[in-house]
Amino acid sequence: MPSRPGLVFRGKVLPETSLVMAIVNRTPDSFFDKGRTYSLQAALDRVDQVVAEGAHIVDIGGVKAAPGEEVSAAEEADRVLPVVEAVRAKHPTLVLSVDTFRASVAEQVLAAGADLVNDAWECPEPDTFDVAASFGAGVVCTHAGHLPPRTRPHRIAYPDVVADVVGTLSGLAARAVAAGVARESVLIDPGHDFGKNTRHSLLLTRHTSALVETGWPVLMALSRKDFVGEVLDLLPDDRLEGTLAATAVCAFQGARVFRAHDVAATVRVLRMVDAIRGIAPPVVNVRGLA
Amino acid sequence: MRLAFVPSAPLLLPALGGGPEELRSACHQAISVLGDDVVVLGGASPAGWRTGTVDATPWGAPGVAAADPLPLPLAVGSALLGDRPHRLLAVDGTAVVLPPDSSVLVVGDGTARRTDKAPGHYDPRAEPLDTQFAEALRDGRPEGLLVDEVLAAELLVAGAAVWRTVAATVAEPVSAELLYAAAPFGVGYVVATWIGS
Repeated sequence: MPSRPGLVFRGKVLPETSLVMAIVNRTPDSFFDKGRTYSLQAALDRVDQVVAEGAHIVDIGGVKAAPGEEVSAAEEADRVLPVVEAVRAKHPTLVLSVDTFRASVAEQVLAAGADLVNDAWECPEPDTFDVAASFGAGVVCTHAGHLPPRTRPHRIAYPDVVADVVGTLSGLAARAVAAGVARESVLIDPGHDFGKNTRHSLLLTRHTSALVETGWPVLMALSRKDFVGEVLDLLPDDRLEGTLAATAVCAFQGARVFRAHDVAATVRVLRMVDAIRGIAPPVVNVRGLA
Repeated sequence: MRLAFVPSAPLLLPALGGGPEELRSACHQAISVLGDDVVVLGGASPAGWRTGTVDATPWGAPGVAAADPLPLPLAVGSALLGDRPHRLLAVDGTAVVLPPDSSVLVVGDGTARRTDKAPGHYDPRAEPLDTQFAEALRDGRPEGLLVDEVLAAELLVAGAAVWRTVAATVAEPVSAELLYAAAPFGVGYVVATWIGS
């Protein structure tokens, strides 16, 4: 098994195993949790819970991805900053990510101790990389079909979606490094559903290895998304099995980090896949060996 | 002569996890009484001096299979000794000639039928036999390690041959200590030391 690229965010070194980035939304309207963790206390409780369940990274979001109520940069910062400050104080070694496409919000959360900027929209504000670099923080480079933030794909087509994603993300990652972000602090994310129809997302899932072969560590954000829903004709509440199936397929091909709502289940799936791949040993190994 | 007795479970191999802490530390405590130039005794066919490699790949450990893998008991003994100088002797139950000041690591274990989940399922005859072995090791009685060959086969006693060799080769020790006797996975493990046989 070839060794995997190192992952370090502001001095926090992550293990070589497959990793879970837990979703914590300080939003009233995200598609799955629908405001369950909108209040500050609920968000903080959720962070404690996902840490206990084995999350390696916590990703805090203040703006839902889909079109909807306009959230100003000030309002977004008001939502995420108190969470970052409280979590940083309580979990000093946890890798803390913030889901934002705004450089100004990124700057405030990094100043408050966040480690990673998860930009899901192809970095529409070029300053984001410079801001991350100035704090020694990391970035997620995400393919969003070249669409503006918070838009849905409409009749979008690619001559070769895998090549488009590989090319776009290789370029974004190189830009991040050129801006001064450390190589081991860059993740790439093909952006399932973002600027893609279901068949595009399935193709990218099937060809995960093409992304892994770029050498950049791959983040997969699959959790309960519409491509799972369309494959199975199920609403978000019933998309866990489909999500975990896609998770296993991507992990087996070498994707490294999985952004997930269902942390405990994802941790188990990844532990199983890592053992199958020979990356991590069984926790117990007695059968037939006593 | 100084002897240490340890089990021959593959899970004691570091590449397979090394086994439960309590068992592993008892094994290392037993080995600590041995002097330099240890002779490892393990039941394997054909009998005789062996050289080779500790290879856990046959049990699924990662890595490339060795061209000269040691038989299991000799591999476990060799792995437990690590860098300490040692020689490896496969035995078949008959007596062997060892210098009187030898340090000997005896690798073998008891029945494998102690519980319903044991490798050989439960057999009510297993625990009394394992108790016999444990008491023989505790009291320093070589003849207590002897077991009927048919019964040993029925109860999956992996140590039967090496213990017959010990009984045929080694005199009663001046002191004996039983460090561990349990069957955490349904296999009877014993760890002991004999000084001054």
